[in-house]
Amino acid sequence: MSLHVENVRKKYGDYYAIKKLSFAIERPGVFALLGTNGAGKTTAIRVILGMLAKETGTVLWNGRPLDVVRENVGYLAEERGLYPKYNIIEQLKHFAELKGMSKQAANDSIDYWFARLKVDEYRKKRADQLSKGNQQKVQLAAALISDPELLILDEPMSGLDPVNADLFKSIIREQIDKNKYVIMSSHQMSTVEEFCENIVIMSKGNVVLQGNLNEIKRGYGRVNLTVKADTNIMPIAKELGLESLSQSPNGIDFKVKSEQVAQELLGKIVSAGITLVKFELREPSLHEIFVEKVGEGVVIKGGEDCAG
Amino acid sequence: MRVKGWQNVMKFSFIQTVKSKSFLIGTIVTMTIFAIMIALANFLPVMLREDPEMKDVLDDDGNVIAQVEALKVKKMYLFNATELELDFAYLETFGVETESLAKGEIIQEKIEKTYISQVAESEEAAVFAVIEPAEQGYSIRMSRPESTDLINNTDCFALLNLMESTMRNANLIQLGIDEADIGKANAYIATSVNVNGEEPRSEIAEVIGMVITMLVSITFFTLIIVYGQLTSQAIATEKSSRVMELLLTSIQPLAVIVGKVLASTLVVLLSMALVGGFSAAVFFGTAQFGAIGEITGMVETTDPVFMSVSEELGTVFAGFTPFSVVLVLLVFMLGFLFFSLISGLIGASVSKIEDLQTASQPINLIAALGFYLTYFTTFMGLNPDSDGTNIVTKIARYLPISSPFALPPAILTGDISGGELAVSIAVLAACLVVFAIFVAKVYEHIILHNGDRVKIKDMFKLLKKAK
Repeated sequence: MSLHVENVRKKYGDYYAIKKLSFAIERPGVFALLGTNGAGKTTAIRVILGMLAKETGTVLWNGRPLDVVRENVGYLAEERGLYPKYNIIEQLKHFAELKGMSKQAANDSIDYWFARLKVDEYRKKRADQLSKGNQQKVQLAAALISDPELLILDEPMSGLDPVNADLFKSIIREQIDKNKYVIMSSHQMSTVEEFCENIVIMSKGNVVLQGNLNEIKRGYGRVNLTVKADTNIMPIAKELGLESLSQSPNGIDFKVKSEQVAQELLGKIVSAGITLVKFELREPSLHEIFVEKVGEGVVIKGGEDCAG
Repeated sequence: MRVKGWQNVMKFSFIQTVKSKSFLIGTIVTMTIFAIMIALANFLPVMLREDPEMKDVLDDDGNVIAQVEALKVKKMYLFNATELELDFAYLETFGVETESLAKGEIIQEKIEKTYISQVAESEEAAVFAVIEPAEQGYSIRMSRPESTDLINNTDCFALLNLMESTMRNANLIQLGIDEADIGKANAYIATSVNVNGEEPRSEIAEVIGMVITMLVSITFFTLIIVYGQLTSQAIATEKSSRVMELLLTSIQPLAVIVGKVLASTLVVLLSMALVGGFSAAVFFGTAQFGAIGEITGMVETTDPVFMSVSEELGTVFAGFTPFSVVLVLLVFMLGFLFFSLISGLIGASVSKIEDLQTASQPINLIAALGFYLTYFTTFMGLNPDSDGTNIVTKIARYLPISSPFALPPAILTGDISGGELAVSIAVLAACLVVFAIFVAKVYEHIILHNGDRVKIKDMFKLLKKAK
């Protein structure tokens, strides 16, 4: 199975919500759709799902245009949706029926997900009687009820407490283990790094970076350096042309041009007889890449050039 | 299929609506109101009815040969200023005691002054009558008490009619015509009016037809406005609560509106069945104890008004058959679907429930216009049967915004020809189909629209784009 999104363009009046979006998911796993608020992530998801008409482009699932009514697709919308005044079990049964599930299969699935998501005690409640977090759990149950092959989660973790966030993460992991295809949009970079192999970062309708997360990071190289010593090392750093980005009890952060510069700095510190407490050279985090990309929109090695 | 899943939407929407407190309370309240109205219509006329006082008519031997209804007037002071020999002794048979005031003793003016004020302040059913020559014959002037509790104008005219007849006969006798010839001269002459060779409806029948038209059009208008809005409310709720996005991962937008519209139709039919069934039970359960039973002929009546209404009801509903009921239901359902589709489109055009009221104003105005087109043409006596040229009523029957209100009463009372009915239903059905196509093309473009409500001109732009 595969999902191919090619040259998708979406306009609202004269405004381009998506200028050109292309990506492919060739194997099971989690694909991340990242971007600031208003970047076009939710619009992209709605276009992929066929809820919004697109100006150009194709969305192919297994080589055929994706028809969410025919295919088994689960969706957790960013703005959660349940009938506020109706009993939640009846709602879920309705959603299951619309997915073509039999009564028995729907009941079994609801029982499983309510137990798994720890909302069994709210079976007879109306949606507006549940907390926001519990409504979100019921929503996730609705998205998963038909055991979909393609699962689209729009900001699944937003507003959840740490315990429930861990619960959601464990469920996403289960979906990965079951070889499901998951598209997830999120602002929580640590969560994305935890699950996603491939990412797209959008900004104002443009794709500013996309590709394999590890490759993107490798493209940056190990250029983030943190040094902590028992003596001030700044005079030595300045000799090599390094400026500190920030200083904290954890040490001084530098951005080096290459690993060689870091090695030179290490040599000079050791030669000077300074005792090192910490010397860490690492790749940038997704958070740092995201802030840099949506802040500047520049091209990064390792990632596909999408800016401009 | 683009509407696959509409049955599930319809079933779910129907069950949830019927289970809602608002439906249960609304239905119970409506049933109670109808029951009270039927009970009032049944019992009030009987409670307020006064049995007429009957007087025996005796022959010379004192045997009762007939009974006549006594007049309300019990005493008449009479001043005859003419030369006619008038004998009103027979009025005794009708319960009226006559006291003739002698002429010449007192001048007329003084008599009148005295008796007019005496009668006006009287607390008994007494009148004062003056008979005098007039320019072209005679005149009878009658004074009654101020209060109408004892005698009203109708009661006076009942007595005057008898007196007029007596005077006419006395006049003829004075002219030398004997009583036998007078009888011949007063022979009954039957009169009638016809339209196109058929006897037209009486005024009572016209009033009954008018009342039926008003009741049916008001009921259907209320049902369409109240239950038609279920569709817009349901769709607007799904949009504002974002359930719509979840639904659209399983079904097409058109399936949503088809399911919702049909669910609203089922809800209104259920409501009609419940209220109608309960009302029928109250109607038939109480009919034999009240006016309804007498008017409908379920129990025998001696009340002349009820007898007359009963007879006219038969005329009004002469063409009423079970097929008429089927036709009425068909027209109502077509009309309901038409307005419900508009309602669904309005629900899809807003993003917030708060905007729904403003957005619904045009449809409410259109429905009100259709209703008043029917209601006022009836109210104003413009029924085609009365003059045969009422173009407004004809327009109301052909326009799809008014035909759902105008056709059902016309079908029930047989006021419409088969051809006219067929054309009217065809126009309504055709408009429904055209509008459904419009909705199908526009709906999926606006269903996920967020922000300001989509205006009608924007919908037409979308339609153009969809082509």
